[in-house]
Amino acid sequence: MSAIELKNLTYIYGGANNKKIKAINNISLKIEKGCYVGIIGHTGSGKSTLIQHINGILKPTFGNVYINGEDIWASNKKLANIRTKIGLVFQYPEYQLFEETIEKDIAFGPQNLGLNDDEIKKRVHDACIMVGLSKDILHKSPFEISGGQKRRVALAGIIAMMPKILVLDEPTAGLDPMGRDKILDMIKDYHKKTECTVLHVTHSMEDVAKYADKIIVMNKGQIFDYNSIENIFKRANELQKIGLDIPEISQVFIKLKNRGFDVPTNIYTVKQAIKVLNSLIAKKAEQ
Amino acid sequence: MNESLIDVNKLYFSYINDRNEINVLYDINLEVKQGEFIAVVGHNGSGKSTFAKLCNAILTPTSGTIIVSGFDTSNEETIFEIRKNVGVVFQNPDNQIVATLVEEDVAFAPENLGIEQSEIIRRVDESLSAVGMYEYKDHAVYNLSGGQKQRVAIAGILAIKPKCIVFDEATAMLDPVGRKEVIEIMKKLNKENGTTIIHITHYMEEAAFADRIVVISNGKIIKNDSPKEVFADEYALKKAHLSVPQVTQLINELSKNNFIKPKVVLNVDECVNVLENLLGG
Repeated sequence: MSAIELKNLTYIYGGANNKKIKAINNISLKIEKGCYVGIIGHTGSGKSTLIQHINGILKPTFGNVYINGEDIWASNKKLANIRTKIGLVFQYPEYQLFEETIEKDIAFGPQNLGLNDDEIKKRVHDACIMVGLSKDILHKSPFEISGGQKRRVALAGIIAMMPKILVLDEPTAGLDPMGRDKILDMIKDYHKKTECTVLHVTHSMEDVAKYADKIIVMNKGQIFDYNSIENIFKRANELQKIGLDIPEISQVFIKLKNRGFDVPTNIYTVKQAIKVLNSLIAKKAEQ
Repeated sequence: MNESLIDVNKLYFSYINDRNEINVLYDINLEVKQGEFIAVVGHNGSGKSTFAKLCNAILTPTSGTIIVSGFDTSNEETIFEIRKNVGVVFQNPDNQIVATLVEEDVAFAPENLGIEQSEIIRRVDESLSAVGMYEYKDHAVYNLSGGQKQRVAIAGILAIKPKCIVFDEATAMLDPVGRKEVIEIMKKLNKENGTTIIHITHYMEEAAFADRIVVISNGKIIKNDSPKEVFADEYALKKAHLSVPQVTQLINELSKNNFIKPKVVLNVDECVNVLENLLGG
């Protein structure tokens, strides 16, 4: 059974002058349990609209959303229950912190799940370890810590609910390179430990290339491709044409190919590039 | 590239929080010349944004001085001279829009400067054309994309005809297309109008095409040099929580294995040329 299944999903909303806009156009898709899926696509391609259907923030105009085989819109009770299992982290989640102390903020989600105090305490504690927050700051106001730390508090609040499906909308936007790596490592860690399903929306192909098992490429409200990273990057040329920013390394190999060199074009990390170049250099030395 | 526009001298900045003094910037010395394109990079919390705010007197130094076009930012009487010379574009496009229509938004600052109506109209048209948003003049701002909103924000600043624009992570919230739009405008203003650009960013690829990169770490300037020099020291950047562009890293790695002479490449084309020589020659 798939963790998430979308069947003929269409979402239409009214734009200016009563124009009907199809943000999602007849998407069908299955995501296996435990898979880490990257979602990329330029602005307006329908990424955010898509993920807002996963926990029922948006209701499909046509089609169905199934979580663990259950139609989430079958009854309101079902929907409420399903929302407790799906953690959705919005863009710039630190803007949603609101409590007096960091501890209370992280505890807010678990409290709403109706857990007892001991369990809540344990959840908050575990979530802090998971995101690398030290215990000393728990009594502080979430407004007196740095931006990178706020982001972690916001993530901890979601992780403390122990979602089976974790949906993240641009979790690294605005962070410096090291902060970016730390947050990504953390998410990967959580994914490994809990074997949860992860959906990770991003503009950065470099980020998804490093961490995801599969990638969904969105274009104009439809799925351009849903495939392994390998197979997605084989189409790097086409990805550029639909307005996506492919890693610099991929651009280099496409250009080398265009200049007549016999090189693969599905390279996207520095490590891969070095391996390929080393073998080419060795080959050349033999000749 | 001639006279000095911003002169930073022994600048310190700190603030008081819970009776503790928090030091943000230490002993900053920097000269920015008229017409330069400077990138400022640094980790989250390094003090980059504080620096941006010090450049147009939103904040003033705790000690030391910043002189902008001959005016000391600590002197309240000349604060408007400074604001006319240095404009800041901030990170979040939604926080910078004050009016509902594009042209009203761009007219906001010149109106506040008491400029005459006909001149305002001329400047609004000119500024919107410069950022490629003239045809959106009578559109509602809320309908625009993030990149378009940032371009409107830039037009609003151009309308006061500043000598220098500081972009405080102005590309951070934009998608790749929006980023490119904003970057192209920065380059164009710098080349065609001679506007001094200070671009604060986390994207190393965006710092690569600046005349000079200033690296701030924990409130101190640790590097102030050409991109080639700065990216040559990958280790120092890593220690400052930063990185070099992928292509720079690739050629650096290959030169470690003695396949090629050490060379700092700054963009995809330079990298392709080096590899072409290596594989073809």
